[in-house]
Amino acid sequence: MNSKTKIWVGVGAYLLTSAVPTVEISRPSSTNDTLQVSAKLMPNAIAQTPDPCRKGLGGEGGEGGEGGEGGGDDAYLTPTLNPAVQAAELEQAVTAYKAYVVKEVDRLLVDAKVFTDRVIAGDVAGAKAVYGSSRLGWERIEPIAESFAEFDGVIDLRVDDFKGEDDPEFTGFHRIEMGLFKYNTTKGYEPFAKKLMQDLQGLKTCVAALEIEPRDMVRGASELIEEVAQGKITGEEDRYSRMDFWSFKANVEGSEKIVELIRPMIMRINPALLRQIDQDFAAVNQMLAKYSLPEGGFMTYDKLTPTDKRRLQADLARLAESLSKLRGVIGV
Amino acid sequence: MSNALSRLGRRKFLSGAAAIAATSSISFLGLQRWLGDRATAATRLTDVIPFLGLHQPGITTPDVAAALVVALDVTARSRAELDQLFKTLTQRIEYLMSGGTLPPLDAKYPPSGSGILGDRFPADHLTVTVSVGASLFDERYGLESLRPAHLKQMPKFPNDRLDPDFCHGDLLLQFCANHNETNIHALRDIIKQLSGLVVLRWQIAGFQQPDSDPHPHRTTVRNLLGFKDGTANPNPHNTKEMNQLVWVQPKQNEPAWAVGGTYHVVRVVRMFVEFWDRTALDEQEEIIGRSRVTGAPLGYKHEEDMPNYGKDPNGKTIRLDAHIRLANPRTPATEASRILRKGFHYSRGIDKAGQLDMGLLFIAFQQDVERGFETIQNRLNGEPLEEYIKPIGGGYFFTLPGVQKKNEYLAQSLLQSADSINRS
Repeated sequence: MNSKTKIWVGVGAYLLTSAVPTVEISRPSSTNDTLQVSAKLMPNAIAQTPDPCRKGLGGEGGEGGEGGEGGGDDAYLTPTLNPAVQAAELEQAVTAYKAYVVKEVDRLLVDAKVFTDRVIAGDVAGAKAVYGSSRLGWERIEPIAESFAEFDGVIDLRVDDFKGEDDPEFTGFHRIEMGLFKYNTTKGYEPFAKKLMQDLQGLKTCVAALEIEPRDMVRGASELIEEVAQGKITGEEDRYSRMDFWSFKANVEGSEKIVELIRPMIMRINPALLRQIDQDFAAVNQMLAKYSLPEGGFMTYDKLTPTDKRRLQADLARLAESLSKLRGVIGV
Repeated sequence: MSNALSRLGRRKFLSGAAAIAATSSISFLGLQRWLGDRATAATRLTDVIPFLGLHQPGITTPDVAAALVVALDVTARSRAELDQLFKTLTQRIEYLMSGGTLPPLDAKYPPSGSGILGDRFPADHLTVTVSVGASLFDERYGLESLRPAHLKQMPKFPNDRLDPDFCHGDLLLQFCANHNETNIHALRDIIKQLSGLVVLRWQIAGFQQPDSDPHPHRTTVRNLLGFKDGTANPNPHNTKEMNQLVWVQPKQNEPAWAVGGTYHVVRVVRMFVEFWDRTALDEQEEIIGRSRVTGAPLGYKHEEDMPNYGKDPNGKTIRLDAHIRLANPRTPATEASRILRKGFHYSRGIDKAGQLDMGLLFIAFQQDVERGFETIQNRLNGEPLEEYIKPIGGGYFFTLPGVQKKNEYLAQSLLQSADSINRS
């Protein structure tokens, strides 16, 4: 039963800690139609990764039978909830988070469709105008989205992860971003636009079947901020369009959403930590507001001054420290 | 001028010296090995350097094998946060320097330390020395009127090619220990504890074989140019000398809080070692002014021999622009410009030209940066050695006075002075 798929969100980041058990999986080939299409474009990739909903390195794919709740290898991971947390309220938060993730993926498909249609129609200016907004859904649920190795590799990787700009494996948002903003063209990028939509559709299918563990949700709050502190802050993400602030903001919103869902629990257990978290979110948002435009959206990332960048680095570091305590606070 | 002639004459002398050196090199290396072993025995994992004192540790503390210099920018939002920064920093340094055990935490929390030294981490001769840069005294925290009199941003000297991302900073942390891991363990702890209050600006790691020669005017330390370095350093155990040259004293036109502190200069000096290694020995020795093998000033036998420049007014034996002669002319008038040096090597990869990126992590302490380092550097400007070296980074800092009592904290006298000024 596919719906019993279980994930460890963003386990790639935890590879070195060995705290997360690695499970070797081998799974019979999927029969998912969408991915059959994408297989034609990337025959090698698909041949090596039979399961389209496979999790990233160190993660657990496979069917629900493996391990399962509290069983086998990961017994030590069995949640020992903080006594101040009701299992039911946590479950409710996870359900709400799942609904949020699904909604964001739906939104991603709608926004990306507008974007890719313009690329296919050869509308360079039109495509440029919606590039920043087309990715927001992805960035808000990035730890979930990235956890599917198959999709992260084709949707959101940067040129640095490939042999070069012409590497046919370099696909997704940033390949098209390069065409639009570096070469000012959509010509030749139509197949990438089509493939992006197919891959996003595949992502949607996997997300629909996904069961989110409480621990993965809680960890997601800090992972989104680590994502910003380590990557977005450098301006490496949207290097051609300089629309990094869009992704930056979406990551922050995704993290804030998780905190919002477990807020009453944190408040009960460690109100001082919650105050610090709120203060740092407010500081980061205040800085983002400084670089926002009255008509919506943001200035280009090169406008960020060195002083403001240091401020952001400091606030993000403290925020990441605070959020890293949430698993301990809730007891998941 | 007879400079060319005298050089010819010296060449002959030098080739003789080289021959002597060649025959004695085995026994010299043997001696060095013996001394090295002695040094290892002298500094152990359990060595604890006291944190409390009139002056901060890490200045007159005997040299160790590993250094890590980290410049930070302060991002504290208020004076209250700045106080919190120095209090937390003080607590962590005390804790890290004494060695200890990482408190166990519920496994769902991140652990209470990096664990790179195990759960029980040794003191390992660690010192963390905290200095402040001129930029900390800008308008942000109301410290403008309390800036040490000679503290300013490090200027660019003629041979410098300073990388702006590798210079200056509000704070400087100097970690010294027997092992690199100990320094990194301490840095990671401090950065974690100070999150939100500071951001990293630049850092550089240094290493050296600590001096194992007990003789005050001899050293086993050589720089990456192959020459003995630090021979003429003042004696850090001579309190009188330290009070004259290193520690800020009362009534020196310095703010009262600064007494017991010292000016801390860091310079990252790139050395073009491939070029140097292709330079004839006699040229190398003329440029430095010492024999490469023995460390003796040219024309003298022993490393500890004091060159008598009065008898060599035209630089026939030791060139007038030789590094040692400019650095320390050994005249009564230049005595006051002496500084307490702490040199480390650095090696950090390969430059764009495909050459080794290594050199000297120069660290110096002095009572007055203008009277000390700047005076010396101004004498050195234009020296022939400049062809082989290029200062690329660093800064001027002021090392805070030591913490003398338990529950007091670094910068306390500075911050309290600011409070009393603001009250009045």
